[in-house]
Amino acid sequence: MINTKKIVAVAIISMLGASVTYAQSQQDLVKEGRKVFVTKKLGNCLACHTVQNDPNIPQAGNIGPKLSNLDTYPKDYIFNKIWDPNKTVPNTIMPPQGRSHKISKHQVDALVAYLQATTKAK
Amino acid sequence: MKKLILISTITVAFLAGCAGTGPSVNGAIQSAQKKYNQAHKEGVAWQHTKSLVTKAKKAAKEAISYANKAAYEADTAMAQSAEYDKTWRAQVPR
Amino acid sequence: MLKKLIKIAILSMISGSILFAASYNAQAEKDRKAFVNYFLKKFQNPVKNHAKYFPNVNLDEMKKTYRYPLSFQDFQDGSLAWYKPSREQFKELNEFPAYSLEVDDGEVLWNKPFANGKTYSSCFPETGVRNDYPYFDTKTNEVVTIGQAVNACRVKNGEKPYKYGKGNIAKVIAYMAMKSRGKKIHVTIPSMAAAQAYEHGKKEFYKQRGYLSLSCNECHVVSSGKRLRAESLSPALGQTTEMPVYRVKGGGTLLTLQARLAGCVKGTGAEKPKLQSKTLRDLSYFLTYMSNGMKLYGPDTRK
Repeated sequence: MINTKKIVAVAIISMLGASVTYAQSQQDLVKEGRKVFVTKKLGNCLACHTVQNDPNIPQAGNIGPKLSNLDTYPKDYIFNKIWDPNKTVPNTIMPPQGRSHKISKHQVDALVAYLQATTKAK
Repeated sequence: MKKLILISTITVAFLAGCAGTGPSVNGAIQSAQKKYNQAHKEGVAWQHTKSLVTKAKKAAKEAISYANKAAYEADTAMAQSAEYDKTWRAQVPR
Repeated sequence: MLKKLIKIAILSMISGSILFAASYNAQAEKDRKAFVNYFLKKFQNPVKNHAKYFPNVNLDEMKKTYRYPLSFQDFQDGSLAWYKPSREQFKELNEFPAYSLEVDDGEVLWNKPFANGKTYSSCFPETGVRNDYPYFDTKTNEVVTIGQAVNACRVKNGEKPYKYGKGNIAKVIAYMAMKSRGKKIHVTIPSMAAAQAYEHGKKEFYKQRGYLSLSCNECHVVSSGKRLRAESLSPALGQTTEMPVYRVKGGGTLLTLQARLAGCVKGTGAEKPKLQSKTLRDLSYFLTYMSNGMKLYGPDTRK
C-alpha cells in the first residue's frame, strides 16, 4: 500500500517535472524563433512581414502579408510555407530559405513555434 | 632487362611514397598516426604530437562536410536555375 | 523591261532591309511599352489601385506618404518620386550635393592631358554622350558600357585602365553624366546579335537567382513602392538615369551602374558577378533600353 502511494507520488512529480521542462523548452524555441525572424543573416523575415501582437519589431516591411491568426493553421502547413513557398505559389517572391539550406529544419521549427505563439487570434 | 626492372621498381616506390605524403588528406593523417604510434610505442613522443593528429582528423571531417555542402549547393543551384529557366517568362509584363 | 525589273528588285531589297532593320527592336519596343505602362498604371493612383498593386500595404500609411500621379519623367527620381519622407530629406541634401566634389574631380581628370598630350575629348565626339551608352558595337558584337569606353580611350593613349566600379572611373563618368543632363536616353538595337544581347539581358532581369531565389523584377517592378524594412523599393524604370549614383549608405561612395547591378545581384544571395562581365553588360543594356526616351539626371544621391 505504502509502496503504491510512493510510486504514484513519484510518477506525479516526474510528470510535473516533465511538463515544466516541456514548457520551458517550448519557451526557448519561441525565443529562438523570434531571433531567426529578426536577424538579418538568418531568416530576416521582418524585411517583408509584420507580426500581429509583436509591435516591437522595428522597421518591419510590407511586401508580404501581415502574419496573423497563424495558430489556426496546422503546423505542417506553416512549416512547408517557410521551407519552400515555391511549391504552392510558383514564382513567388518569398525565398525558399529551408530548401536552399539558408536556415535549418530546427530553425524553421522554431519560427513556426514563435509565429503560432505570437499571432494567436484574440 | 635489368634496367627496365630497376626503372619500374623506382617508379613504383616513387608512386607509393606519393600516396603516403601526397595531396590526399586521409593519406596524410594515416601516415602521421602511424608515425606517432611508433614514437609513442618507443616512449619518445613529444608533447603536442597526439593532439595535432586529433586536430587533423577533426579538420578532415569538417573539410569533407564542407565539400559535401558545397557540392550540394552547386547541385541545388543548377537544379533551381533549370527550373527558373522555364518560369521566368511568365513574369514579363504584357 | 529589264531596267524596270531591276528597279523593282532594288527597291524591294531596300524596303525589305528597312523592314528587317526595324524588326530587330520590335520585341524590345513591345516589352518597353508594357514595362512603362505597368509603372504608369501602378502609380497613377496607388490609393485607388491599392488592392491590385499594394495588397499588403497599410492604406492610411499610403495616403500619408505617397505622392501621385507620376508622369513618365518623374521616375528619374526613383523611389523619391512617390515616397514623401525620403523626398523631403533628399531635397535638403541636394541643395549642396555630396557628389559635386567628385564631379569637379572628374572635370579635372577629363581635361588633364595624357602622357601623349591628348585628352579624353579625342575619343568622344563631346562630353555629354552618357545618354548613348550602353551601345551595341556591331563590329565586335558586344555591348559596350561607358566605363569600357573610358578605359578603351585610356589604353589607346598609352595609359593604364582604371579599376571599374568606383573611384576615378566613377568621377570621369560623373562629369560626363553632368554634361549629359537633360538629354534623352537613346539606346538602339541595330542587329540580330544586339537583339540576342537584349534577350539575354531580359532573361537575367526576370530570372530568379541565389539563396533567396529573387529576381530584379520581383523587387524593382512587382514590389516597387512597397517597403523592404524601412526603405521604399525603387522602380526599375528610370533607374539608369541617375548613374553614377552617390550612395549615402556606408559613408558615401560614388558608384557606377555596373557596381550597383553587381551589388544587387549579391543581395539575392548569388555570387557577385564580375564587373563588365557579359551578364552585367547585357543586363544594363536591357535595363537602359526600358528607360529609353527618359531625360538623364545623373549623378544623383540615393540612400
